[in-house]
Amino acid sequence: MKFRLKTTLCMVCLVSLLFGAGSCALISFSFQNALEREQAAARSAYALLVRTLQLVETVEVWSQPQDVVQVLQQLSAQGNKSWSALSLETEQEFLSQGSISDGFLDLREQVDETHYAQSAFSYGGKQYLQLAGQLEIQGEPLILNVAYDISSIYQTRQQQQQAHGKIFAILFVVCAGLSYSIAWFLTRPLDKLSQTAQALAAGDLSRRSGVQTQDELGALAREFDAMAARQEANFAALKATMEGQDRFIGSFTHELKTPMTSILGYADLLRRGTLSPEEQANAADYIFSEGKRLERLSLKLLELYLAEHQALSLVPAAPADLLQDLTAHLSPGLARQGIVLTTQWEPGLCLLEPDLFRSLVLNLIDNSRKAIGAQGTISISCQMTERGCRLTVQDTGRGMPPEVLSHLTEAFYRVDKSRARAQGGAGLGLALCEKIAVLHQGRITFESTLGQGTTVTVSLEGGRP
Amino acid sequence: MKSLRFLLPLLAALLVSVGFFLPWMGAAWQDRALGHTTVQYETAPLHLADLIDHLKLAANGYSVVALTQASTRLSAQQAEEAAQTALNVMAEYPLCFFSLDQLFNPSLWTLHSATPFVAVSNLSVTSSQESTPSQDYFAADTANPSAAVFWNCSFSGSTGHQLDLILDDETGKMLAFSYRIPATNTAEAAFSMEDAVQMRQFCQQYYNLDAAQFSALLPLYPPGYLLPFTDQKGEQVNLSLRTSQTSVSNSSQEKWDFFVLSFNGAGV
Repeated sequence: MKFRLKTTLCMVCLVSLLFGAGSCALISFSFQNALEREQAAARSAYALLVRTLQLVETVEVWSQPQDVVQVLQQLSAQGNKSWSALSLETEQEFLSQGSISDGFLDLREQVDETHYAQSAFSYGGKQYLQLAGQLEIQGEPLILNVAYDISSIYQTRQQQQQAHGKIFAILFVVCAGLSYSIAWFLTRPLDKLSQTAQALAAGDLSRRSGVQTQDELGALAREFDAMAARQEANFAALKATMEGQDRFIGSFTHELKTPMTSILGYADLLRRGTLSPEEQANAADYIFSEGKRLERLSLKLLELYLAEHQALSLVPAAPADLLQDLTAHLSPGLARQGIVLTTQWEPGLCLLEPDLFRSLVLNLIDNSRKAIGAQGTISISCQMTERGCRLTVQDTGRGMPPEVLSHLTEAFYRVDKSRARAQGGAGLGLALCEKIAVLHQGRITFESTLGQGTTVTVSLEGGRP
Repeated sequence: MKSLRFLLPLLAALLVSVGFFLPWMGAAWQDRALGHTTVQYETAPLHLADLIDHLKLAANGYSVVALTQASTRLSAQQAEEAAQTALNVMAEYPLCFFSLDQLFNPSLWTLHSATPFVAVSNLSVTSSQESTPSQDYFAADTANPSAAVFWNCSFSGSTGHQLDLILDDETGKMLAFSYRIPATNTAEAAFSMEDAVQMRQFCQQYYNLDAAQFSALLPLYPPGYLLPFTDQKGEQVNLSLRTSQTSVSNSSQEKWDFFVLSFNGAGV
């Protein structure tokens, strides 16, 4: 059962009980008041009747009880008859007026010379008040029973009950409608939340409840939406990771397969012994060079693995010193290839891992060297920042199209696969560089223009001593 | 849980039903309590009525129980004498209406009959709920239901004039009167507020009342006035003086029209 239906049922029950109790109290109170008025009037009428009979008895000479009957008949004839039925009885009843006198209760036990009794009875679908008292006529006790019709107050009560029934029915419908509407309005955010949760469970991670109310449900919905957003982001990241791993395995398999095929082919030729000595030497060289390439690949993978899993310990170091040492060793080799290496750095210390920093600089210079080819310039600069340092490596190489920049840090990604393979690249250098930057709470960015060169900026934010 | 799913609607239906039928249940409980209850009341001692009570009884209207062999306080002879005395008092005051100075002169009236009867105040159990405001002036005194012995003394005068006096058996005082004359003789009869003022002053003296007890006169229709006063119990007594027309048929189906002047409800 829905919450709004439960709320409606509760409201309807509450209103029904309260209205019923209120009506009951009101009708009962009204009836009791009317009854007390009727009882008082009946007692007055009865007292007057008794008073009259007593008065007549004191001044008139009554020889027989039948004389009492004549008095009563005179009063009836003049319209002074407030009673509906009357009976006068001695040992045996001798006067009965009114068809309902059969319904009289026997109140003889409750009356005596000083007391009269009042009770109520129903007869023929009507309600009556009965008053009974004892008279003494000529020394003989008489029981006078008088009935007064009080059906009118019962009819009034019945009309009030019918009115209650009609109002109750209207109130029931109105209350149910209003309660359901209000409950629907109040629980609408819960519906939206429920639908959103179902959509999320079905895989629609972009679905949001969009509830904007300022109450507790609104707060809950906002938290829920925020949680869904985080889940969506986590899922996207996980998906990207999975895709990256898939690509890595595919690329790795491909990288292994190509040299292994060549090695196996040349090894098969050598095993047959059909090659000339010169061909045998070439085959052995090829097997050796492909073996070296596999070795480099495994070393790079190892390096990448270590960068990811090795416990990192950042120490205060001067990037300028490290760069100076590196460029001093690399400059001659680069100069022989026609590449000019220019450097510019700021003095200062920051927290970093020196070996990883060297690896980072070497990989970036190696990439620039490969991009330049014959003639060109590699500019290295390093500025100290508030949280570490910013390393920039700029080359005047062939540059790259913009669409490839976002894939540069993927393992085994090469912009020009044939050229990279020829240059002995495994496509793991920039992936390693990104890992190193991340390990230093930094990031790596690329700017490149085809035909003009590439600028790689690495910010390392491991902190400063 | 399935049973719980049906339990709530069933419980709600039960509570709604209880709410709907509560007035009937309450009524049934009340009826049962009333049907099983017999209340005993002590018989009230006879109320000792005084002259004012009897004036009130006459003013509010009453039913008549004829007495045949009555042993009233006044004998028939005493009642006749009391009637003559009342006429004397009214004549000597003097009370006069329609410019008739000798209206109540005892020598102009011949007593025909003096009959005792028991006057019983008119009561009805439901009258209090159905009465209109104008009827309230004459409503029965339900708080003090009363009955008393009165005398009806009938006089006749010359040219068809008739006078009925209602006397109190206890005190012999006049409680009400009715003066009737053939309508043709009073075509020009005028009835004014001065007559009502004169009657009020007579009542003040005759019933030994204080002038301060009387309130302002209230006009009535048919033409007449209420002479309200408050008795020593703080209850209002509405005496009245009014005129009316009435027709009386004799045995030969001849119809006589009368003009009636009545005091305190007599003859109305």
